Amino acid sequence: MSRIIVELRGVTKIYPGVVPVKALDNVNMKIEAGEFVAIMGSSGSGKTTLLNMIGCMDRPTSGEVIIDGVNTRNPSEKELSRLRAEKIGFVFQTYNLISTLTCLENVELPMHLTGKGKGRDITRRAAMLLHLLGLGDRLHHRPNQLSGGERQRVAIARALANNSEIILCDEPTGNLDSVTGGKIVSLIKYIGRLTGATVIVVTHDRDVALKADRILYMRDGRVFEREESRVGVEKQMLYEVTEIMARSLPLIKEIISPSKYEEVKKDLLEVLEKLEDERDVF
Amino acid sequence: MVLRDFTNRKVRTILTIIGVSVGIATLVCLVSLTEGTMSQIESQLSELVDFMILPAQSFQRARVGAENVMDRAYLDYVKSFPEVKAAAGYLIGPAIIDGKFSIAIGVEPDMFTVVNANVTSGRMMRFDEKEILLGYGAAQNLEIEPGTIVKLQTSPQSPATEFKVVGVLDRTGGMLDAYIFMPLDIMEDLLGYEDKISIILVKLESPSLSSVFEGRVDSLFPNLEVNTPGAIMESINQIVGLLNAVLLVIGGVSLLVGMTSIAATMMTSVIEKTHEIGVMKALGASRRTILFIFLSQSLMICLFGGVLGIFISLGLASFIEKWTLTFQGFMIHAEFPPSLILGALSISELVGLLSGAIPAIKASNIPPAEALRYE
Repeated sequence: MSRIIVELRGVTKIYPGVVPVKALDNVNMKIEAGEFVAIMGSSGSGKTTLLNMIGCMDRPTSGEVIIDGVNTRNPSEKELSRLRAEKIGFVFQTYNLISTLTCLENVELPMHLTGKGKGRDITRRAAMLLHLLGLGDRLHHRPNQLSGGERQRVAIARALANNSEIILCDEPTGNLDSVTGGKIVSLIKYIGRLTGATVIVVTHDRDVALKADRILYMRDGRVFEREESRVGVEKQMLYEVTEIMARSLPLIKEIISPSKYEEVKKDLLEVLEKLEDERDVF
Repeated sequence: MVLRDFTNRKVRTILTIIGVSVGIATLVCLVSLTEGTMSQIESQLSELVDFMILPAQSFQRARVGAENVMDRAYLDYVKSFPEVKAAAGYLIGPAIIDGKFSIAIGVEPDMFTVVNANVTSGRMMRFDEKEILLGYGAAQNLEIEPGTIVKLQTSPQSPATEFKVVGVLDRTGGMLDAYIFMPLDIMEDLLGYEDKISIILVKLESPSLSSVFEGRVDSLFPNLEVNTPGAIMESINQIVGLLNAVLLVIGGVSLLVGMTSIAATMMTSVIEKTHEIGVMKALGASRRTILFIFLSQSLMICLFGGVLGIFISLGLASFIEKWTLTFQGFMIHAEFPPSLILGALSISELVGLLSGAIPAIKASNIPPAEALRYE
């Protein structure tokens, strides 16, 4: 068994408010170094909160998050910043490149933040990463001069800048067309294999999830896992679609005949009931 | 990154810089004018005379005009006092030579004996000719050599009169250095006076006779003021001190407005950049880094504002110098010693630090996950 790089023990996160929201509910999980893990789940299921916990961006209400042997419960804000800078790379759905900086400067930024390396070496490494990702001719372009796919590749280069051991991707294909999205995920997987980095991708996209070594599902702040992940992905998708349709029944009633409506309603509820019975296993 | 941010919001940054510069310019201009004028007066009063006699309240009026002159006959009276060793009077007025502003005094021959001044180059002027002597500083300022014919005006509107510069006085370190000397009668003609003088300088036979002399002048000439140079300085100090306090309050209020403007700009910037702060934190930026970025921006705005303010104050002070001489009939002098420039820059940086601190702390304390969610 290889080294455990991410471990969550009984992690619960409650956002306080008039009505407190339990975003994570007693999450236990382990991810090995070098794994490519996809996390799926419907909106509000807690995926991004989970990613924030792993990325040391937020602290749990209870439980422990251990990143490469470091328990993130006790360290100071400064130590967490250092951990993020040295071990973790982020790729976001909206790219989140700094608009006033060029592509090269965006990739240089994490290296400057760790304060390691000389200016010249930093520039050389940033340029090398951008060349590797096919952006050699875009070094001095600003993010707004690039396509969505190109921006995401710059974001990937930035995530790799400090030789991060963990790359966290939050809906990396969410703003891209399916072809470009597919290429980006393949690139992330390839880069993960090449560098030995652990890649954790939060996604809605079934095709993205199917490229992962392992798929985790989230529902109501809890994490589930199943061996036959591909079947699980399809059932999850079917469940989500059916649930949306069931919620839309009052609208459907307005546009079809009463007899047809009763028929559709009966079918939908039967499918939903069946899927809900099976849901604990996917 | 800090600078790049400015270019992205040029108008807002420029307006904030102007806001700061107005405060600094006001402050520097006021301090330079009051300090410069004070040191000028101080040097003028440092001549080796025991007493100065002036028309009553002339320092309070602080301008050249009919109310600030006295009859020349007073000088003859004063000379006749037994305790007086020597006395000389002069008439003071503005002078413009080649567009440069200066101060001219009309004197009689014994003036140079009383203040012990010698001609260092050229010769002594003839008192029945249109000839002038230059003080050491005036010669340097006007860049005129003895032998030159110059056209002199007492105001920009007055007709020019030709004078021959015949000599330059030795450096005294006092008022004589800054003046242009001409015969008293000619000065009177230029200013439209007859038998008038502005000030009488007095040297006594002995310092122990001071009270006798003061008593005699007070009893004989109640419309004149007799002062020692030190007493005049003290009364000027009081007036300037009060003026300074009022002006510093005005400058302080301007700076306070500047501070509010920076704080508002920085706070807006923090709100606009909340998401970017989240990204920076995700990439590993510590609280200190974020604090540094925002504080640097605030300090840089204030540094630019401070430098601009100093340049504005240089122009403004020079304008005020010329304006007061031309239209108000008296000369005030601005001084910009390095300590004033450094002080102004330090104050502007302090303003930057104070006004940028709250926005910077707010920015650095935003939790990263929350900042990333912000849209």
